[in-house]
Amino acid sequence: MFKKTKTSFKIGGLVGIIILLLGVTVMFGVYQTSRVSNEIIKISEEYAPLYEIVSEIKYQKSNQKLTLEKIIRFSETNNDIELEKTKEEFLITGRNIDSIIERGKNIANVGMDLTDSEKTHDDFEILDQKLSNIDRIHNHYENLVIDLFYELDNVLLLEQIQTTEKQIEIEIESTLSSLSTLTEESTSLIEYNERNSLYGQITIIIIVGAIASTLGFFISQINSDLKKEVDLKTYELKAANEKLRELDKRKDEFIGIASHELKSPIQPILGFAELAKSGDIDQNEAWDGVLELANKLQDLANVVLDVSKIESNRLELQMEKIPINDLILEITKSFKINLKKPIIIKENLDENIIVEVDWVRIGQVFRNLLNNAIKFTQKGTITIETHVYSDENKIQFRISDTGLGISNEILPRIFEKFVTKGLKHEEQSGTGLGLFLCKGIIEAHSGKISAQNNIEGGATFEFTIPILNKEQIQRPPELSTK
Amino acid sequence: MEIIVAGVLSLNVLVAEDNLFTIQQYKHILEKKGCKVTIAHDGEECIQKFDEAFLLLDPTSVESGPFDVVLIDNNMPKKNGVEVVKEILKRSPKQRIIFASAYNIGSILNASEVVMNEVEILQKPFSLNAMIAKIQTKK
Repeated sequence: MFKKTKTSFKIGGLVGIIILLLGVTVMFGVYQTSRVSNEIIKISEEYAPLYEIVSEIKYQKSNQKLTLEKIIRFSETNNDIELEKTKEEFLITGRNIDSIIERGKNIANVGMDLTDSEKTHDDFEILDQKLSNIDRIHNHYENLVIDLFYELDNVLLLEQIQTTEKQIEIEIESTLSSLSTLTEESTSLIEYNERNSLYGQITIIIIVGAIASTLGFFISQINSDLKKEVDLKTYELKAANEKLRELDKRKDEFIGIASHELKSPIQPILGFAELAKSGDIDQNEAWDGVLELANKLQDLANVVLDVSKIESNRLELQMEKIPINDLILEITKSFKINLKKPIIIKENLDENIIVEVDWVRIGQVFRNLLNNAIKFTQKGTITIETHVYSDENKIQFRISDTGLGISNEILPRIFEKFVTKGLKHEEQSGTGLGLFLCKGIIEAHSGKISAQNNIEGGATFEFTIPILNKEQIQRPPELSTK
Repeated sequence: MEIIVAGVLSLNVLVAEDNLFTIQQYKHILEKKGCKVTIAHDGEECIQKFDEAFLLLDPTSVESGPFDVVLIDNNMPKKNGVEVVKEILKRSPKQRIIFASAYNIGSILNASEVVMNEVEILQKPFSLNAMIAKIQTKK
C-alpha cells in the first residue's frame, strides 16, 4: 500500500513538472510572439500615416502645379484680379505642404525613438532625409515661382521651375516606393518572427519533452536504486536481527551455564560445612574441598572480568622476554601430572627463542587450548608444536588432538562469545568464553588464531605471535626438545 | 504424608550426579543412614545402572522400580536429568524419583512434558539434612 502511494506520488510529481514546463514554454512563446509582433505592428503603424502624408504632399504638389498653370494663363489674359487670387492660393498651398512635410518629419523622428532595431532606426532616418529633400526642393521651387511672379514671361525661369517640379515628383515617388517596401518588409518581419517563435516553441517543447523523459528515466533509475538499497538494507537488517537473536540465544545459554557454574560449587561447599560441623568428615578434608571450589568460582569470575576487558579494549599486557619453550614445557608438565585419561601429551618444539609476551596470558591461552583438547579427547595423543619463521618474524604454535573434532555448525564461529557445545547432551560443556578469551589475548599480542578439523580426526588450534626483532632469535639452550 | 523418624533408613538409593565432591557427600551421609548407594556420574550411566537393577526385579515390582529412591541431578553429561527421568518412568511408572537442580525446576519440567506430580523436587543448593528429610518423607 505504502509503496503504491509513494510511486503514485512520484508519477504525479513528474506529470506536474512536465505540465508546468509545457505551460511555461507556451506562455513564454505567446509572450515573445506578442512582444515582437506588437513592436513591429507599432512600427508598421508609423509607416501608414507617413505614406498618407507623402501622398498628401503629392496631391498638394499637383494642386500647386495646376495653380501655377492658372497663374500663367491669367497673366497672359491680363486678368489681374484672378491672377492675384491664384498667386495667394499658390502660396497658401505651399504653406500647407510645408506643414505636412513637418508632420511627416515628426512621425519619422517618433519612429526612430520608438524602435530598438538599428535597421528600423536607419529606415526612419532615410525617410526623414527624404522628407528633408522634398522640403528643400519644395522651398527652392517656391522661391523660383516667387521670382517668376515678377517676370512671368521669363522662359528660362519657367523651365527651371518645371525641372524642379520633376525633381520633387521623383523624390515623392521614391519616398512612396520606400514606404511601400518598408511596409512589406515589416509584414514579412512579423511573419518571420511568428515563424521563429513557432520554431522556438517547438524546440522548447522538444527540449522539455527530452528533459521530462530524462527526468522520468532518472526517477525510475533512482526508484530502482532506492528499491535495491531498501532490499539490501532489509536484508542487512534481517541478518542483523538474526545475529541479534542468535546472540540473545547464546547469551541466555551463557546465563544458564554461568548461573549453573556459580551455583554448582555452593552445593558441595554447604555439604562440606555440614559434614565437618557434624564431625562426619575431617576438617582439613572439608577445607581442601571448599578451597578448590572457591578457586573454581574465582576462575569463573576472572573469565567474566577478562571478557569485559577484551570487549572494552582494556586488556593490559605485562610484556616480558621469556624463552618460549620453557613456558610450554612447564605447562605440559603440570597437565601430564594431572591427566586422568589415557592421553599422551607430546611436544615437538622448534628453537627455544626468546619472545616478548605477557607470559601469564599466553600461558592462559595454552592451558585453555590444552584443557579443551583433553576435554574432547577420550584417548589418544595431544601434540604441541612450534615453528619459528625467521623470515616472517613470527612464531607459530599448533595444538592438535585426536578427539571428537569440532562440529561444522560451530567451527565458523568457534571464537565468538557464548559458543558452547551446550549443556544438555554433551559431556564437554563450558561457559563459551574460553576461546573468545584466547582470541582476545592473541590479537592483543598482534597475532592470529584459527581452528580446523584434522583429516584423520580431532582438531587443531593454531596461533601465531610476531617476533619484534630478529635479534631476539637466539640459539636454544639445552631445554629444546627438538 | 508419612514421616519416617530419623535413624536407620535401609533404603536402596540410586544417585545420579556429576560433581565428585557432591557424590562423596551424598554417599557419606546416605551410607551413614544405612542406605545402599549406587552412584552414576552421568545420565547414560544412570540409565545403565537402573537397567542393571531393573533386569533383576521380581515381575511384581516392575511398576515401582528397582530402587526405593532415584536422586537425579538435572545437569549431567551425556543425558540430562529430564531425559533420564523420562526413560526411567517408561520402564517403571511408579519409581520414586527426586529431581535435584540448581535451575528453575518448574520451568524445566513444564518445558519437557514431565508431569511434576511424577517426580519430587529438591532445589539446589540444599543441606544434606534437608535431603535426608526429603528421602525420609514419602509422598
